[in-house]
Amino acid sequence: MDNESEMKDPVLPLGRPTVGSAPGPGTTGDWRTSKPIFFEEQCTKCYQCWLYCPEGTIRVDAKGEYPYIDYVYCKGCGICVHVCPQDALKMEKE
Amino acid sequence: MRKVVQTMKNPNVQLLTGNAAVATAAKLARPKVIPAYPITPQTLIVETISGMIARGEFDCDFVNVESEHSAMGAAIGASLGGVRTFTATSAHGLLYMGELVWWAGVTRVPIVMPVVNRSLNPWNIWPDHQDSMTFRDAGWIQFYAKNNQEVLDLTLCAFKIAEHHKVWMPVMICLDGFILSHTSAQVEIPTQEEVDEFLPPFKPLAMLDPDDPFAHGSLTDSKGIWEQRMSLIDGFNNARVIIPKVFHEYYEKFGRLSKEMIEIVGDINDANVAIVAIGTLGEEAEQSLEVLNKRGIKAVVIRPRVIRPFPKKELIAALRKVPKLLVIDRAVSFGNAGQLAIEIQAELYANKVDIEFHQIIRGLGGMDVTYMDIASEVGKIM
Repeated sequence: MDNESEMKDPVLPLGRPTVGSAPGPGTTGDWRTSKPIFFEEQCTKCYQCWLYCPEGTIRVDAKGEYPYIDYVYCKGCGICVHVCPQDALKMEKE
Repeated sequence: MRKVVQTMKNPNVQLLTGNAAVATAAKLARPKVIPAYPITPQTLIVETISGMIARGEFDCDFVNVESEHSAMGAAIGASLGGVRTFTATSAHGLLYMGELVWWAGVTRVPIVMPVVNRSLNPWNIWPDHQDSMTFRDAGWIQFYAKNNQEVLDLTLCAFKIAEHHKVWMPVMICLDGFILSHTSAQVEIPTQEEVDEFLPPFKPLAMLDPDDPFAHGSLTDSKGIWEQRMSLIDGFNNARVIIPKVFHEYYEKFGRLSKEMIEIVGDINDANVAIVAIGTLGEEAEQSLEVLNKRGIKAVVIRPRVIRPFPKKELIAALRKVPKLLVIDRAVSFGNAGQLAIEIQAELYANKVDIEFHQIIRGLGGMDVTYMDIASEVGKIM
């Protein structure tokens, strides 16, 4: 292999930021053993769950809309259930 | 090798210490960032370079860091920022830098760093190769220089080799503390124009850019690690071809170095014994040839200039021609033997070379090894 053009190029340890860039396909919601279930009828849209979610997986698309849970990334920590003043969230085993 | 004598015709020859030769080569190579921390016996490199920058002779950012760990951290950042980067260290500084030396090595950051060889603990400031040998496996190319001229020559070549897009890895130039670093000798200095012709500007393979962001060395799974490690092995195989090419190019332009990764002094086709040693021990061994010749022993010195990649092919081709071999190590792999001896033995076995093998460890902690000492060691095995 004396010909420079035939030599292999270096593989550099570069990572590009993408949605779900964790190892594997990035679906970190797989790590969950139990998940929060949302009951719209009890929700007063106080957004405490959205504020407290440490993973940013509780979303509110526009002011006045109900929050919803992105289960692709929700790890099931249960903080949203704990902070909800209306019991509009409950934990359920996966 | 061309004889280096200062005359009116050759005003470019100066008396330089090894450290001054490093600083001069660094300036000629035009790096843009030098983060460095002083440590004996490397201190004069840092002092000389910071002086050049302070006087406005050298257009470069000198980063006054608080430790060697930060020096290498800043060097990695600067290099990934897309500029030619240089630093220098020694002994304990190298160990303190350790984690980031591995970062630069295995994640391919083409930094050039002279290591002024100095013994490790307990406190001792004199030369042996234990410091740089500790980082033999860290993914860095390693050169060992025999004199101040070779320090300058290898430092200039180091940039071109490190930054070759098929190599793209950091280079350590090892020079023995005090024997080279603080001893003045004649050094022929190329002009800036000549160096600019030899060494093109830095062309980054990947460069940190806020408009096209990437993370360098983030969490990597086993598959990714495997791919990168195999690529590093390929990179060293590429370096085996590129290094002699760059040395040869340097020879054509400046008349020094040769296209080989090893230097042979003496008549190898007529030798009864070969001495293998690196750095200044190799040059000292050259001085013993005349003494040995008077005693009727025809010896030859084989001195690897490059230890990583290990110049297997060249060494074996040379060692096939001699019946006896003495390897002198200036460092120890504790629990086994001298690193050079271990690696040469492995190649001798793999290539079925029939040779009488001897090894000694000398010169630890700066212990003087004279040409008479080497001659007497050779005498013992004859």
